[in-house]
Amino acid sequence: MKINCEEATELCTRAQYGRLPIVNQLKLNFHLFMCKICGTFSKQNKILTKCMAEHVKRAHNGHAKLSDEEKETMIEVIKNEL
Amino acid sequence: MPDSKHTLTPEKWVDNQADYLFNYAITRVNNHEVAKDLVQETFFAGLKAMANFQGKASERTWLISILKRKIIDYYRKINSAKGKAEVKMNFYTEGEREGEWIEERVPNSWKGEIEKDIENRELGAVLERCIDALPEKYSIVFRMKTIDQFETEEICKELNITSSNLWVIIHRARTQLRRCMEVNWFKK
Repeated sequence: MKINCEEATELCTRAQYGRLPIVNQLKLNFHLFMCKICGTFSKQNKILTKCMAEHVKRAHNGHAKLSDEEKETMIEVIKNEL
Repeated sequence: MPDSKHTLTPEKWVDNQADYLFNYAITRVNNHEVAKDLVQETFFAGLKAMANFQGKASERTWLISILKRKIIDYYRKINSAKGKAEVKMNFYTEGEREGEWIEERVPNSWKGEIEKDIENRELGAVLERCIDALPEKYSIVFRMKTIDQFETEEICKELNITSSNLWVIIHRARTQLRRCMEVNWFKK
């Protein structure tokens, strides 16, 4: 049942991408209950996941733009191909 | 003809789709020139493949699926150019107390109104810089898994790595990102 900090934090990372197998989840919970440092890491790893999700959402709504010249060039290229 | 069938209008691609595709690409490669080239290549490939368009998906969805393939090819290219060089990063002590935290790597508690911070556009910029600061291989795998949300098997196949290797890379990437965000944002 016992895992070390390295194993615990890796499980915590895997948990950011989907549900862990129950045995691993129990091992992780047990470790986090005992180890404050990994608890902090785990909390911040979750925050990182939220930050990434928000960042991607925002990026897709998009402030990045191609310049008019770049678009002109693309239009030319497409015209030539058609 | 039922009008539910989608059609392609390549003469309007630049006006209607370019910015959307560009945003999609730049979120994944974080480089203006590279993203622009990917969009251009997508239009190119799209023109060549027009005959294969069956009208089942919207024009945008169809173009995005081409762009996705272009992005994977780009990832593959830099991945193989960088070789399989592994960067050693130790967050834990080795030897007797193996698996315990190295003291200066121990996470500090984060300050600030974290829920509010997450919505902050500037945090996104810092996060992007931190991802860029990762070893290139880490940032590729991390982006594919976290941003593109590819299946583990797919990433392993494309980059020719094992799944345990993938998780080690993702974990190291996140450990380094956590640290980078702590120093550059949450310390305050």
